[in-house]
Amino acid sequence: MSKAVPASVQDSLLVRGVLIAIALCFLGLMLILPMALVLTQALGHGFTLYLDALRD
Amino acid sequence: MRASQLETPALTRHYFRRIAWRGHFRRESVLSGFGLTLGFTVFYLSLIVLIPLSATFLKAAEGGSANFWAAISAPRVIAAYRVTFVCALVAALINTVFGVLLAWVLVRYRFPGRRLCDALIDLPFALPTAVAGIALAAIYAPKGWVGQYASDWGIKIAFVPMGITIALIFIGIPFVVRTVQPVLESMDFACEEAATTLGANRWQSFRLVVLPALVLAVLTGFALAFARGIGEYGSVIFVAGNMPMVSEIAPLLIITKLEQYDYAGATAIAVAMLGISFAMLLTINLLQAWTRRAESQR
Repeated sequence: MSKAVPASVQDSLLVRGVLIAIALCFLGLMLILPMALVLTQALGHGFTLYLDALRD
Repeated sequence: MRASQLETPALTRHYFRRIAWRGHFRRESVLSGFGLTLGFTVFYLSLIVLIPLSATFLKAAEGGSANFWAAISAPRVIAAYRVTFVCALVAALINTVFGVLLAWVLVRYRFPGRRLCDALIDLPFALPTAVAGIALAAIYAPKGWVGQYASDWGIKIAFVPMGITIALIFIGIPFVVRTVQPVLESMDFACEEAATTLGANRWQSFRLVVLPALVLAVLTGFALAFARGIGEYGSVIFVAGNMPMVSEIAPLLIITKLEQYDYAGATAIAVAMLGISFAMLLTINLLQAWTRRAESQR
């Protein structure tokens, strides 16, 4: 766990907001979207079909 | 202290020099068992890395030098090298920028969902590459979630080199984040605070204090992401379109040759790729050594 950042070296609220927004956009587009697609494809036809596929 | 005490007698000086000289060649280590551990390291490295690599070289040499050159200099192969290395380079550069940003945000800022984002970074390691490739193809295809909006603007993402780059960004991002993150975490705030007291603004203290300390880790992350991108096969083939001369990567050509039982040709391409990758990684290593030396001199 990282240490708490002292206020004297913490970035301004605007910079923090912008950087977090960029980070979340990148994560959303590159990592969450593919995972969401995999999950919707796997579970899209109902959970029972998903279980049947696993049982084979 | 008097000046005469500072001067070492000639004999002592000679003796010290001999010890230094011997130490340089014998490398007497403080740790015991150096011979055994070195032996094991070399044995293990040979078993896992060197023997398969030398087998590749031997197989490539089987076909003769004329066939070797013919195999690695065919226009289709040259185009595949270009696609592979350019896409891997672009992806690694993008990953370097966003990887440092992600590491910075995850270490320095507190926001809801931070732990979840941190855990998500490792997803490309865990997801089978083929699944990633199919998912990316489905998202960026002209009828996919993102692809349909892109095709409205006349932009094609999947099945062109841009698709390859996106797959390599997906595959490479953990390498940069996970090499930069621990360095950022262990960094002392004192230097930045000192920079602030000297009148530096946040951007200056990031650029002049934090970034120089990160350079080694960033270079390592870049090299890892780049190397992974060059060899990546599973996720790329689904989203690349695999058009010869346009979006065909070199690893796919190797598979194609293997399927035609052209083992010498396949290994010839592999050897050429190894050579180029080795030259590039060597350059990065030299750059790292140079950075380290510049850092220790400051």
